[in-house]
Amino acid sequence: MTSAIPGHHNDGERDEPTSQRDLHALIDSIFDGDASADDASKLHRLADDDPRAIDEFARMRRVVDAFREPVETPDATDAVLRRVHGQRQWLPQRLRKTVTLSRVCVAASLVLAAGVIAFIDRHAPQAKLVQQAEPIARLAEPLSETTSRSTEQLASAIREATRIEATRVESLADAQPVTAVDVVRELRLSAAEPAAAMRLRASLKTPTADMRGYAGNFARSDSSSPQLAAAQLVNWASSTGDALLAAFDSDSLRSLSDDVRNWPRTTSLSAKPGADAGELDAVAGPMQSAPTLGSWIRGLVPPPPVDEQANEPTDPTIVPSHLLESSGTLP
Amino acid sequence: MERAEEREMMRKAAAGDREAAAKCIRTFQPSVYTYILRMSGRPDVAEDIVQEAFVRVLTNLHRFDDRYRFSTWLFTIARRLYVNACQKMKPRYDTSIVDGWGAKPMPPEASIDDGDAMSHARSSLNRVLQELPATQREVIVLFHQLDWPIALIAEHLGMPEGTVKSHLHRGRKKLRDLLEASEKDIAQVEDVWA
Repeated sequence: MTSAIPGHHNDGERDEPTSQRDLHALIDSIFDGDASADDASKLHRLADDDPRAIDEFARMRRVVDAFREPVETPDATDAVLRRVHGQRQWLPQRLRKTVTLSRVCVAASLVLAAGVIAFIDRHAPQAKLVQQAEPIARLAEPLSETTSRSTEQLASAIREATRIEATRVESLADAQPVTAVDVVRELRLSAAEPAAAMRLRASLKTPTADMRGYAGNFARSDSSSPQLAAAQLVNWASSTGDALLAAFDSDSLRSLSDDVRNWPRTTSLSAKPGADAGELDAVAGPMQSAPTLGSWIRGLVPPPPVDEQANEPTDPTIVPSHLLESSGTLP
Repeated sequence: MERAEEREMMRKAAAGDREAAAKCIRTFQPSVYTYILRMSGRPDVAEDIVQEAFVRVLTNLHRFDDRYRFSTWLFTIARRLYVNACQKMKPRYDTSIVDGWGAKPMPPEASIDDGDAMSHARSSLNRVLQELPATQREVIVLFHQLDWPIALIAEHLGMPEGTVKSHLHRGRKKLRDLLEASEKDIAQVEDVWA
């Protein structure tokens, strides 16, 4: 520590001799707590030279010591607490313990509840402690069941239709509320229900000749154009898969083309405008010359462009755009 | 008292713990009482101000910032109360009747007639302290009575540390001279009565 003796002096001390000023500065530094070892040794030297230095130090010591004497302090605790009590309610000790205990219980309950929930969530995640909102999948389940039932009804209807002659398709169609539109719609729905699609495909494994019935069923289509009806047939045939394509041999296809030619004679289709014999011939002609249903379909549908999504399955419900240009859209 | 212990006591007192509040009062009232007593020279004033200061801090504990020492806050409030009390009493001191009396304390409760030398010394100290300028008096009390460091006194009074030291040195010398003069007077009186 450097010497605490200041190099300057207060105005009142200017008249003091240098040694006297040094003495007072030394004493001040000691009582300020700033004195270094050098200051202490310097004070000792001054005291040796001048006994008045000891007296000066002792006089100041008495002043400082006077502050060390204890002061009797009146206890204001009760008075203060009484006054504070009027402004702010202190809790009694017993009540404070009760409140504290209650808080501990509440906190422990919360921790316990959190622990139980965490335990259940960890060991039985399927358990539902809280009623959750129904997921969309659950809401869709009844729809799937409906679809499945509808598809089964459709399959049943188709089976029944295949057992009768094509000429009776019209009456069947009147009796059965199954139209080509329904078939396409149901087939679309069945795409989301593989089991239903499988059942439908199995139901289509019928004798080739009976396939003629389907043509008549499609003649009930609400479509205004036989070309569009044919397109719907294409889509339906595509969606039913290889079984139908394999089932239709050339003879069956020719029979189907005959049915197409006969569409204008049916009550429903003949009433529709634009269903003339020329259009039907345009559809039925290639059918007669095609060796199989598959080759006829390929003749109708241009080969898809080669792109990155070529390996992805084609949506069977999509009708080629060139077939729709003059005839509107599917339902 | 350790800082952590002080914080815990303040936290409990702020939460409504009466025992913590009582402990707070008992812990700090000696120093704040002595501070005001030395400043005012009047035990009744010191008692009133100490009581008022504790009432105010205990009813405003939610405002206390525990980054600071509680004692600093308490002393600041006590000092403000003392200054306000002095300002309220000042007009009385300015009257011709009590001219010159206002700067002096009321006669101390402890009489010199009781023969108690220590009481005598304390009474003398209280009396001569009142003859010091207020700032010197306050600096000396805070430094020598309450052992506050110079830096804290400077912060409390809002003045540079060098100024605080200057007040301390001058006040200490003056106090020494006043005490010695007082003792001489008392010695003379005792000689007369002896």
